Amino acid sequence: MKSAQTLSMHNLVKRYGDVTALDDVSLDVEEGELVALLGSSGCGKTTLLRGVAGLAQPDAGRIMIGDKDVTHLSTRHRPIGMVFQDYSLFPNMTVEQNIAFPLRVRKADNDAVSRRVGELVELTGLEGKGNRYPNQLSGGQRQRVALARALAPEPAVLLLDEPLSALDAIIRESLRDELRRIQQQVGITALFVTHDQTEALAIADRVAVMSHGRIVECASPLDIYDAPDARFTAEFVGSRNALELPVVDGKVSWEDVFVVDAPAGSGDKVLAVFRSEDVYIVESGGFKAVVDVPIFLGPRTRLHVKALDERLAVDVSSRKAANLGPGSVVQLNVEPSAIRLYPG
Amino acid sequence: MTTLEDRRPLRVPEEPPATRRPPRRSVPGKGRTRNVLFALVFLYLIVPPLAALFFSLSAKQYDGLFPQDWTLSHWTGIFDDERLIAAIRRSAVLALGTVALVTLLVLPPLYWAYVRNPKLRTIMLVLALLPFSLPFVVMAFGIDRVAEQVAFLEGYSGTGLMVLIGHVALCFAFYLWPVDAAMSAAGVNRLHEAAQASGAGPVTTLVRCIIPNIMPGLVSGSILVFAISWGEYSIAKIMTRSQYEIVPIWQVNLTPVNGTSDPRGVAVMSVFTFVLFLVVSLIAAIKGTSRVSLDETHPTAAKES
Repeated sequence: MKSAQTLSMHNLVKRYGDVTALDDVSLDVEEGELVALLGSSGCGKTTLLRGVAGLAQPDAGRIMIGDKDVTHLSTRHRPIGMVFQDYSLFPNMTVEQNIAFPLRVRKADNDAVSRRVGELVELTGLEGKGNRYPNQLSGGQRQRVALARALAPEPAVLLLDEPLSALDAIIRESLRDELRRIQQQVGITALFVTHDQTEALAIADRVAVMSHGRIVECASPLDIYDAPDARFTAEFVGSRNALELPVVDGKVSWEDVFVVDAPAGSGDKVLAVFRSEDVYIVESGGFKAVVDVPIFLGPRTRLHVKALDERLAVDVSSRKAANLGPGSVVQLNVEPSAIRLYPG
Repeated sequence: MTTLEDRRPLRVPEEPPATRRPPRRSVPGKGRTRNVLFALVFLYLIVPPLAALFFSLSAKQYDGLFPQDWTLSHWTGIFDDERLIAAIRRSAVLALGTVALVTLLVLPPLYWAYVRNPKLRTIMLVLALLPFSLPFVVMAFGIDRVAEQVAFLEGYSGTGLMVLIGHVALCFAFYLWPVDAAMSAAGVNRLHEAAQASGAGPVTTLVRCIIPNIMPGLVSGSILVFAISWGEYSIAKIMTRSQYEIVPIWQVNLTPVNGTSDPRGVAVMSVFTFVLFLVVSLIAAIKGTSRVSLDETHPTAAKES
């Protein structure tokens, strides 16, 4: 296996007519690191991935793999492997032929091809399916073939374009974990595009949150979830409550529920953001809230409540919520240390 | 770095394979209607070649459905005619040449249109309509006039090469449409990108990843083009004044209108051509569907890890 290499994107710009798909995007991915590009549809994450693959040529900027500038190289000359959302297997080839294809086009000898195909079939759990055609496989199996094919030529960088989005929930979760295991075992640098924040947080070493063609924030999954720097990230990731509150004498308060110091340089207003799990039910001494809709989520139940003229989401254990229905009155409190403030 | 031999994959649950055929339900009354309609269409299609076959096997003029006297003499004698053998050779070369040229004119540009320049596809589709807006006669005269005025075609006017060009112009659409539909169904863009990401160049991609997956369209288009070229009469007639004798011209030359005396020879060639194309079409259809059926009924398809 070739050693993994760094992937660097510098000031990438890509425009489609009047639409700017990539707006001065820069990102470095370390050797063996998996970075997830997370964002809603149209944010530019797939364009960025396709730019790295050479399937979309950026209008400006530079792409480096290791110390090699690949910006103007054609796709087939870039040291990449790519897994597509819809698998994109060759229907006329068996599983083994699909995996062997990148090696055959590189004119590898037969022994090397069979050895490598055997390794990858075992690595991806496809034993006994080598002679099947893609339409004889389930979606999960197809995606594993696609992964094996992408890894076959031992690329420096693995690109994954929403590889799990066509699968159902259970398979998606299992394959996600398997993908991560394989990526770590092989030690390959990887860029993973997804719109599913749970998937991004679960699989990545770092998550780059994208919006309107820009990387808004790139940090570890924990920081992205727990302490996002950008307001967009705070609003986009996780279930959050957001209240627009005035700044008075350097303090931000919401009725008598909390009072916190306003960050330096705040204007007249700030956005106070706190997660639904940082609001909790108390026996007494809290603020009154009326349950609007309880949503059962298994171990936890999300209560949508009305309190102090605001709507809040509150996550409580399902046991605690067992007797709570629409119209139930509860006392709530907010953990002050969990409140993050962003310029309004 | 760990070795691949030490890596044991996680066993994950799998959803069932995507291509499991739903059980077929019988609908009362539908089967009979379908069979009657099928029989009517079959009769409509089979009566003309059957009548031609009976006529070719008849010893003399007859009334009614069947000949009173049967003979194989028209079948056994006709292939001794050197003119016919030469006409068959010319027709075969012309039809195969038309298929080859149309393939070259359509396949690479259409592939390129799909993966690089969608506007080219629009232009090709518009061009394909031209043979339908121009009568064949006009097209043949047009090509002939151009041949007379273009320097490098000087001396080719009225030759088989010009007939070939005429047939290519005529058959372009009949090849383009099935190939275009096959490319669209196969998802040529996806296959192209996957092949490129695997390190394949455009020629390897076309030969190993695209062509095998659009084969039904290529076969349909080729059969159509071959059949049209084989049976086309007017272009060769106008452009060569019947001097380039291909099978249809040979057939017309044998009709009573032209003062000759072997209309049964025409019937023999009609039946021969019909059977030839029927066999080729059946082989193509069986080959095409057998691959699909192999994929869908693979004995291990239902087993999951």
